[in-house]
Amino acid sequence: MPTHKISVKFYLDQGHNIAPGTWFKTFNNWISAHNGADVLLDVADYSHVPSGPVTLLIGHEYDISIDDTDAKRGLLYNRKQPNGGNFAQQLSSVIRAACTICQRLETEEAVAFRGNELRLILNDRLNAPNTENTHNAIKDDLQALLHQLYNGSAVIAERRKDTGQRFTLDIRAEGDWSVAKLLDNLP
Amino acid sequence: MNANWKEELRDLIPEDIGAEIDTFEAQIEQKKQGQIDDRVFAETRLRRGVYGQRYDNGQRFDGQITKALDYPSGDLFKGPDTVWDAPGMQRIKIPYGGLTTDQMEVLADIAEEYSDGILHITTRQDIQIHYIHIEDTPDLMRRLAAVGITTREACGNSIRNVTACPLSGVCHTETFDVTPYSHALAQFLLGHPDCQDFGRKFKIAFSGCAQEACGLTSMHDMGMIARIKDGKRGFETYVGGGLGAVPHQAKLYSEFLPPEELLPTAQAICRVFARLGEKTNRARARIKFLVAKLGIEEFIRLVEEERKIMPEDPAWTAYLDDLDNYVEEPLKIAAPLNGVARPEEFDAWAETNIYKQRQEGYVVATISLPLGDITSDQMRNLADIARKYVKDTIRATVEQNIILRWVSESDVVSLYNDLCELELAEPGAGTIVDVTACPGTDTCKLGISSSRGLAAELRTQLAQQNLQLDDAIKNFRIKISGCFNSCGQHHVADLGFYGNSRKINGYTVPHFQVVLGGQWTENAASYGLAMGAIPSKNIPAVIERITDNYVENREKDESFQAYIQRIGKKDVKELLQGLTQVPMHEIDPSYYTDWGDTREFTLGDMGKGECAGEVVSLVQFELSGCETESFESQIYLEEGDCEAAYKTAFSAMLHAAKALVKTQYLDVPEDAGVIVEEFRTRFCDTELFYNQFAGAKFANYLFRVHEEEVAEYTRDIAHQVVEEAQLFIEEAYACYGQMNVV
Ligand code: HEM
Ligand code: SF4
Repeated sequence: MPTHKISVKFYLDQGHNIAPGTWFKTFNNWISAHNGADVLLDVADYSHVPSGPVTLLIGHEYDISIDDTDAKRGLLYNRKQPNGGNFAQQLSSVIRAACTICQRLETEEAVAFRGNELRLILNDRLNAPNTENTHNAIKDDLQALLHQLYNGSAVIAERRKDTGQRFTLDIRAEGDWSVAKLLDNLP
Repeated sequence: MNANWKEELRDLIPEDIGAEIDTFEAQIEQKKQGQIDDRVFAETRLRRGVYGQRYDNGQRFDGQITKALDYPSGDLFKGPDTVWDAPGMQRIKIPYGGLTTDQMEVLADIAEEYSDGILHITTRQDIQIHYIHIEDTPDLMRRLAAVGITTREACGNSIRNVTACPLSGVCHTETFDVTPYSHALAQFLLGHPDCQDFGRKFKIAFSGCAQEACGLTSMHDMGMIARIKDGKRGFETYVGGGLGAVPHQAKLYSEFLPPEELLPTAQAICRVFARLGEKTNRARARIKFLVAKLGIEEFIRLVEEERKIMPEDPAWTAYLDDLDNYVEEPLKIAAPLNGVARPEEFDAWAETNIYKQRQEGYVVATISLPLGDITSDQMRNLADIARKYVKDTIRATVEQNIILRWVSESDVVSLYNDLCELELAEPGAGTIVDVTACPGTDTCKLGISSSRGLAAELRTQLAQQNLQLDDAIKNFRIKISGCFNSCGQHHVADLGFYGNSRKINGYTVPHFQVVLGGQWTENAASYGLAMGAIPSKNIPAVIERITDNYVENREKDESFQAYIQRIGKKDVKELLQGLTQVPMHEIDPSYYTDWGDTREFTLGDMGKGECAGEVVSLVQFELSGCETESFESQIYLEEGDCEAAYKTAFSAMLHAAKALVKTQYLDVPEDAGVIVEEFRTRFCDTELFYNQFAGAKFANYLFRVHEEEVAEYTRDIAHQVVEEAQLFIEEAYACYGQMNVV
């Protein structure tokens, strides 16, 4: 298995103008309301840095951020601790977690996410360098999962080629997909 | 099996540094198995730059109640009050702020993979990353070591990052370039045996001249200002300065210290500090208190005496031969900026962010970083930009910015355009909008009010007003600390603030103490005056009133420092009248919440700071190191590497003996023959190392192994020595206990 350090980003369709202070408050409320087995720790405001994490919810197992890194605002879920299972299972659980968070934000704030586009990052230059080899190593698992996620629709996955970057795939599916639909499709 | 960084980077990491990191990794493992004391482990990790962070006591106030953070590792601790899984801060030492493009890329990578994708430049030219898990730190250190960066002694009671003016070498006012001297001193003192037994941290700074601010030598434990005497280089040297709750101006140690005396004098000062500095009362343990207690004359006398008895070290002067090898070169030839079209905002940026170098045709460009923060992507792309225009002539500054030196003037517009692409072309470097702030309540356990929250707010407000601001105040410095410890260096700002709180109407309300008229120039030559605590939310109004009043009422060419002295505390108090008032909670609850937070204000999140480190004596420290070696020898044995097991176990015994010998003979060399003989005469013959029941049995283990010639390292032979090493170390602890010096 290449790595458990998997990040997934979904992009905003609506709600680009929500002020960072609102996200800050929302994430703080999540910490207060939280009663899961995982640990949510703190919220960091980085709205002063351009094209970075705007507002970050730090946890022990994962971080969540409203993220501007590729100049397109979205929700980034970043898994830090292993979550059990093989790569396919971990990937699936990260996508599920990211979708669930997007859905929660959709119910709490005036936002909507586009489900047809996502960015996948393997946050581990040692075990998953940004190479074609890594791509080949995960291809089968990824294709099977995307097939399921998008119900067999055509999907393109493009790898960012600059070697300094982490292994990153920009994935786009044909059709209109909400995160709710994706959740239904996940195994 | 997955790859690992240790193997991957083996050829790129110097052997001794790699071994140190391996040892730290072994200590992490030992700690998990309950084999290291919490305090010893805490100081061990601090000396590797692995620092605690807010909420690491395992709880957090969520706005209503304080909740436990249930980490998976339960009640495993990495210090007396620090929960194992709690994320921490990693401080990364950048001597004199000097960075290469390769280093910038690795910094970007590790911030992405182990932290939150943000690198923070500190007020002492270090870099910090936050929310790090301790088990990631060895790999993180290896990746840094592979590009020549160490985190060793970035925190803890040790020699911290050696700083120097970021303009050294290119500055108009400097006497000479202090860079190679600061580099040599930093290298010499790093891990030096005489610097391992301090009661507190020790900070060193270099400055190229006396009049500018850049070096801030007056507020350092030891500060050097470049001087020329009779055509020869040297340093006007100061000791005993420091900020913190009780700021001290450094005292003159020597008007002229020649370069060949720089390293030995620093070493002698360290030895005196280690021997006589306060160890129990942490609040009075910095060298400034020792200098004040002894008086500077007596302190100098003691250092000079120490200097005389120190064994000669070739390293003291070896660096002098290398001085000429230190040269910085431009990438491009010097050429003027002729007729290139200037983007609209270029001139405003150039006015504040470009400094013309002493060398004709070259400039220094400052990249202003909001709150000292830069994203991994920006850092990586900035490395690319740097490669395009300069060689590895990049530095982090104490004003929490990054500069590129040796940019050809002809490239300035093109550089500006490239920086705009990265959104790194903010103007206002070194002006009132370039606010400095310590980490404060964002990540620091000691933070009382939100220094970064306030800084962000002021930055936004002032940037909007910037064009209307009077020239007299444009170059003011604003510096903010989250508490009296003054990590934000508020004492040396025109407008300084440090966090505190007041109980009002039954609530705790965040405040800042206002400190006015500190001097940034002349190496931080004088400290500001405290004017009273004001609610956090009124601080922007404080700034407005004071700067307006100064602009209106100052006498011709009167500096802000002189103006504050003239009008005095009473007038300032009057000026601030009304701003101390806090409305009732029902009327305006915003006063009860800090900047950059949405929770009701609390002091409940504060924790015990780790800045003071743990006082662990040198012997305890070294014996703990021997235990680690002994632990490693067991692992070698398990892995079947009998020779390594045998040798490591012997080395553990030898070092335990050395630790004891050092209590009587500080300069015992790292020579097995000498250590064994010194140990024999000082501890064995005197029966200090003598077991009540077993007599000299344990000491004999050492003697036997030392003399033994092994033809073949069998498992049995190795096993025996591994066992013996463990017993020997236990006896060493017992012996140290009986010496009554624990
Ligand atoms: C009692 C505890 C502490 C004391 C007395 C203290 C004191 C100081 C002082 C006086 C300075 C700045 C002046 C100088 O350059 O000499 C400083 C620097 C600094 N402190 Fe602290 N500090 C403490 C704890 C902390 C903590 C807990 C943090 C954050 C986790 C922190 C973060 C910093 C930073 C970022 C700097 C810039 C220095 C560097 O990079 O070395 N400090 N500290
Ligand atoms: S000044 Fe206080 S709040 Fe700020 S970093 Fe230092 S100890 Fe923490």
